[in-house]
Amino acid sequence: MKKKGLVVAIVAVLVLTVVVYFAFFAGKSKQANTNGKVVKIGFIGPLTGGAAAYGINAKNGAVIAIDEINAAGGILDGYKIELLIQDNRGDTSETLTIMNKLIDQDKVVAIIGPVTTGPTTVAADIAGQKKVPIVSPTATGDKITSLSDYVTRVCFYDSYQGLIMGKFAADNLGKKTAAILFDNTNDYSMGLADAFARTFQELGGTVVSNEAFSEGDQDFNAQLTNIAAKNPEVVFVPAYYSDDAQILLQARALGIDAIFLGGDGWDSQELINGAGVAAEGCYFTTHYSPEDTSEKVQNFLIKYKEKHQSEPNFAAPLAYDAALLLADAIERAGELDSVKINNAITETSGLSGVTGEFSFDENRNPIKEVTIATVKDGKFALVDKVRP
Amino acid sequence: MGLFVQQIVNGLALGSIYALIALGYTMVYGIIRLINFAHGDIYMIGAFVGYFALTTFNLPFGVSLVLAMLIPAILGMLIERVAYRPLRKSPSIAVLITAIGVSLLIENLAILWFSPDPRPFPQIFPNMPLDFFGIKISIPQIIVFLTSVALMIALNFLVQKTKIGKAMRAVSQDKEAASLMGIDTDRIISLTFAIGSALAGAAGVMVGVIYPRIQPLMGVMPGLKAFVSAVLGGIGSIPGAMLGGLIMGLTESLVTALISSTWRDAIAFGLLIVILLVKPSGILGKSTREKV
Repeated sequence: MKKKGLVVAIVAVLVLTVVVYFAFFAGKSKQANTNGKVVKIGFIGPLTGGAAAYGINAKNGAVIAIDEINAAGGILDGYKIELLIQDNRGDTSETLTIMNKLIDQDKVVAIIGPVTTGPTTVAADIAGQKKVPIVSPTATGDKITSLSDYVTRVCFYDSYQGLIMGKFAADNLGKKTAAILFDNTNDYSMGLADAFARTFQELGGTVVSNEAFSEGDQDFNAQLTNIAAKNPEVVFVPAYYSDDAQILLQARALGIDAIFLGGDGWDSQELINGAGVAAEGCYFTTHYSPEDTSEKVQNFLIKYKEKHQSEPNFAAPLAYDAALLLADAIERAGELDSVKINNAITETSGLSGVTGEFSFDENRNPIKEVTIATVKDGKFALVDKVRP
Repeated sequence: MGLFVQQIVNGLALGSIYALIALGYTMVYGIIRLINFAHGDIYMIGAFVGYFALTTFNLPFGVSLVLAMLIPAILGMLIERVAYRPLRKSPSIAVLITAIGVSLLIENLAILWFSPDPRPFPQIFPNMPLDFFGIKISIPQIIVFLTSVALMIALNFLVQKTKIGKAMRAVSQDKEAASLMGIDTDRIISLTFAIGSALAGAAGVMVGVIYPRIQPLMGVMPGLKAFVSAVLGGIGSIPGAMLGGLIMGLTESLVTALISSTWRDAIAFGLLIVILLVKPSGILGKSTREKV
């Protein structure tokens, strides 16, 4: 009796697999046939799981760019782009499987993604081995692009932000003393803190206090009391919005009235919801500002809201730019050859996207302007766009 | 010097919260020899009751605080009635594992109902410092410390001066003898859970006032720290729990301020090991001989 049940179960699973297989591929081939000449580009990102907010936004952003390009006649004299969207759930081993599938089975010429730093590290290896370029919209970890010649990104890297903020504090704000409060259990936070300190000191400032906290901390009073004793003009806090809100509130409660500075981890409405008036007058670096009145940004926002009925976060315009970058590179490569496309990507110069105009340095990191935003009357506001 | 005093103030504010939670651990342990691992989660429930009272129902702070003590108290009694009382005659390991189960149940229900995202706790008190001869103490810190001290004084009065307190002390000394003297031990145990849980609920609101961010798993770490505080001070001893909590808070603040935040937990828990090696019954605990 038990054995019979097992056999039935196995048969059922087999039948289900076959059905799903056919349903999946039948759909795919039909789509491809109607388009005639097709260029396949892969997309990898977390569409489910903890980082889904970034993955879904990135996917939506890339889809908008590709629809635009296809509507305008496609690339290379009439090739339409087909985007093969894959969910890696933010998981590294899943990313490995998907990379192999996209390259070996689907024969994509290039891939947009992965979205987060961990999976991008894994994908970089395979991209290098198989010589297929990947363009990450949002992986900011410093080392990503040095892992393989086939990895490019359109976001700036972590220490770049620290550098920009250090320069902003010293030059634009004209401050001489700074304190740093960072999360010493987090690479992102440490990278930003380091770069900020270096730049600020090179430009004649002094870091009077360097305090650390650990992930999950609630109580920042001890560190903030030490900082208050040194009376710095600015406090740089490269952390995520939930911690930032806590730190701002506790700092104001201790009477610290210095200007607080941060990185793109601050860029969330939750910061203002959490900190309220304590967030007023702070500055942080980020990828783009929805308050930017430039035509490119505003057009993108209108299209995004029209198509996806929601407000985008910064992953959407970055993925949009990643798709633009790829289309432009394929056009310049002149043929569907992954190695030539990769060379064309690195030679990109002055491509104008939603998040700015960019070229690449020798490590395939974008050289582009960084947006500096502030909080004013309970809302984010654009301050400046600066180049290093 | 001013800096050092200020760090002590930070430590006292943090420690008074640990002390409030530690009291629940120690009272329950004193009376039925159970480490109630669900206690940290009751503290979380207190924070959420306070949050909803203040935001959704827009109640004044005092009323919210009372509600945030009352509802956890009822919950504490309910947990005791449903999960622990049927196991009163079982081996203590069975009750201990049940306590861990209850803790996981409450945490996951909270994630389900309240969502795992952290919420900002509403700010009721002015977010600024008062200056005492050059030492700046934030108003939330003052409120938290004073409320905690008031609650501890009230508890001390209850345990030492009232008939209920007398009964509680009797049950903790010898359950059988107390019951022979006509004390309804089940009712006293239930009441002990209620009082301990009410204090934890108050601690939840205090944490919202001073570190305004709450989420369903906020009780795990403070629960553990408060448990360590209770053992540090001598588990089963009420003044011991208060002292242990304050020592814990002070150690954390001073280690973070003078050494590094990465050493904080290592030193705090290391302190426990030292105390257990030197004086296993805790600072104020009485060493009792094994009853045969």
